[in-house]
Amino acid sequence: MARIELKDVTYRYPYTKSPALKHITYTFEPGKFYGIIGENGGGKTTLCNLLRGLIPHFYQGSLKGDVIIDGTDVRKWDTDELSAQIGYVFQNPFTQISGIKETVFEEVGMGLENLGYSEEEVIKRVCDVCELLKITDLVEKDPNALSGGQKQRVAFASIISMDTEMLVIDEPTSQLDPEGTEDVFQIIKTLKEEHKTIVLVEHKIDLIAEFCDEIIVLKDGEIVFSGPTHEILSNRALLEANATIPQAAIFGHAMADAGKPLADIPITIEEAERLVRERKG
Amino acid sequence: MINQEFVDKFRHYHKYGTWWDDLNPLTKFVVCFMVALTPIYALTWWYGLGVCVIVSIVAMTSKFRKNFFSLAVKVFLIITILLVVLRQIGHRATSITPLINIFGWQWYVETLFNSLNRASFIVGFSVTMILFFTTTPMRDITYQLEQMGVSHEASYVMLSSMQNIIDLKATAVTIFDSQKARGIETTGNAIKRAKAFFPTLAPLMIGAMQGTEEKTIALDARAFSVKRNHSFLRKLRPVQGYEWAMMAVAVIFNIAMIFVSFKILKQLPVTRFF
Ligand SMILES: Nc1ncnc2c1ncn2[C@@H]1O[C@H](COP(=O)(O)OP(=O)(O)OP(=O)(O)O)[C@@H](O)[C@H]1O
Ligand SMILES: [Mg+2]
Repeated sequence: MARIELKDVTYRYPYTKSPALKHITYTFEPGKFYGIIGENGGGKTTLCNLLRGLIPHFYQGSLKGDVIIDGTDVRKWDTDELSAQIGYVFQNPFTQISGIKETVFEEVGMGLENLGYSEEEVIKRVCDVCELLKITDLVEKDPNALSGGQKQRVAFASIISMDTEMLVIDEPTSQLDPEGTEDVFQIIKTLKEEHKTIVLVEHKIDLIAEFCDEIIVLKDGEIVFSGPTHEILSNRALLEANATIPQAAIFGHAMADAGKPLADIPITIEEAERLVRERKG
Repeated sequence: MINQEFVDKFRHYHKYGTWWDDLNPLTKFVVCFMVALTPIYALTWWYGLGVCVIVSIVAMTSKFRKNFFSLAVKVFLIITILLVVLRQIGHRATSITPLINIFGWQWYVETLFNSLNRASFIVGFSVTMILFFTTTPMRDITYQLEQMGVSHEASYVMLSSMQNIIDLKATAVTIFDSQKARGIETTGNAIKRAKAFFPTLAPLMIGAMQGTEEKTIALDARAFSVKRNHSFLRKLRPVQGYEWAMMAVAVIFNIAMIFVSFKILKQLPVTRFF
């Protein structure tokens, strides 16, 4: 069964004239990793809100079409239960801090407390996640007084500690340095290996190219491209649409334009390397 | 490596390491409230003063004594001085023994004691309750309330309102600073300050409102309202046997003081300055 099915979904925020999402039809399969890309205001965050059920439960406005989560219409889902099923890492980490916990350790453990895990289980998971996100030296600090990057790590840790089957992650690395970005992607990779369903919004296209199974490109609230990562990112139309595409693909297209095409358009550096090596002459 | 000593703390009841602070919030509340009521029955300056002294001694043993004294001293002085002075303005007819004369303004001894008696019940009550609120962090209060069946949501509202006040203060300072940087006068006389104050209100309110919406989603992301039994990483020691005894003594003392006040205290010459 599909994890989430969107059927001709159009959504308009309250007090706005034009819809933020238009005629979206897409199926999210369990265990797959989806990348969402597109320019600012394209509707990426709105799509996340929809997948997580915040639309229509929290954001009113007008929702047309069907959103089916695990076979049940989103309108019939109990929002509180949804929150235990789908983890959501916000685009803005500053708003993800609860503001009522005194230490980072308790902040990260808050979701687990709410889910009723035993004391030892909470402690163990929080320790593991802090280790994973390299925030062990922050655990005693006040979560309200952290830098942007530290907050983003803590916010990410707080959500993945809850170990939900599905994760919606909106630009988890916007505040992070290259090293932090790498850490986060390593974690996302492990989550993928655990067969979690992951929806990730990310501007760093090279990372998307490396990890995602499928890609959705949003523009003005519409899906302009969607499908398997390689197929989409190697598509020349994407280049012509002025979208950001991986360096490797630009290189591939340039080789083709110069009359020296590779066997395929690469989307990662490794692929490009292999294709160049295999190319005769 | 994670600091194991720090993590271990969550395996035990939270400890401040001082006797008063480690009492359960319920115990502290009942004891403070029962004692706080007694100056109201007594209406006697030396009784109120005595309560303040005892409360201060207890506060001295607390980790939070700085919070206590910085607030309690202000309340003590402001209320006492205010009442004493106001009373000397309006209470002359029955006064007989002159105290001092300030440029023609005659103060009377009876009026002074009368105002001190009146101040004693407000001050005695306030200072005792200040002991409770300054030595019991809000999160401890809400924790105990949740243990007693108050909802998770209600306890969140209390906690986050506290945090909101702190945040709002910080935001106000930021807005003030940026307005100062833009050349708007935020110091100086009252009128100037008021002029600077009102423009800060709008961004402050909008900020606070936005914050609420975001916080709601943030909590939702942590499964805040999911209908399951919650667990607590940070736990407080439940009410101990001797704490129940303390509460019982406080209640008995309170009831006893009702009798003592109306049967004995009011008959003593030192307190009959009404
Ligand atoms: N809470 C809201 N109320 C009203 N309109 C909104 C709200 N959030 C977003 N919008 C509008 O919906 C559209 C899509 O916004 P969305 O935040 O989904 O874009 P995005 O792709 O996530 O952009 P970014 O890359 O900047 O994060 C925008 O036109 C935006 O103005
Ligand atoms: Mg966004």
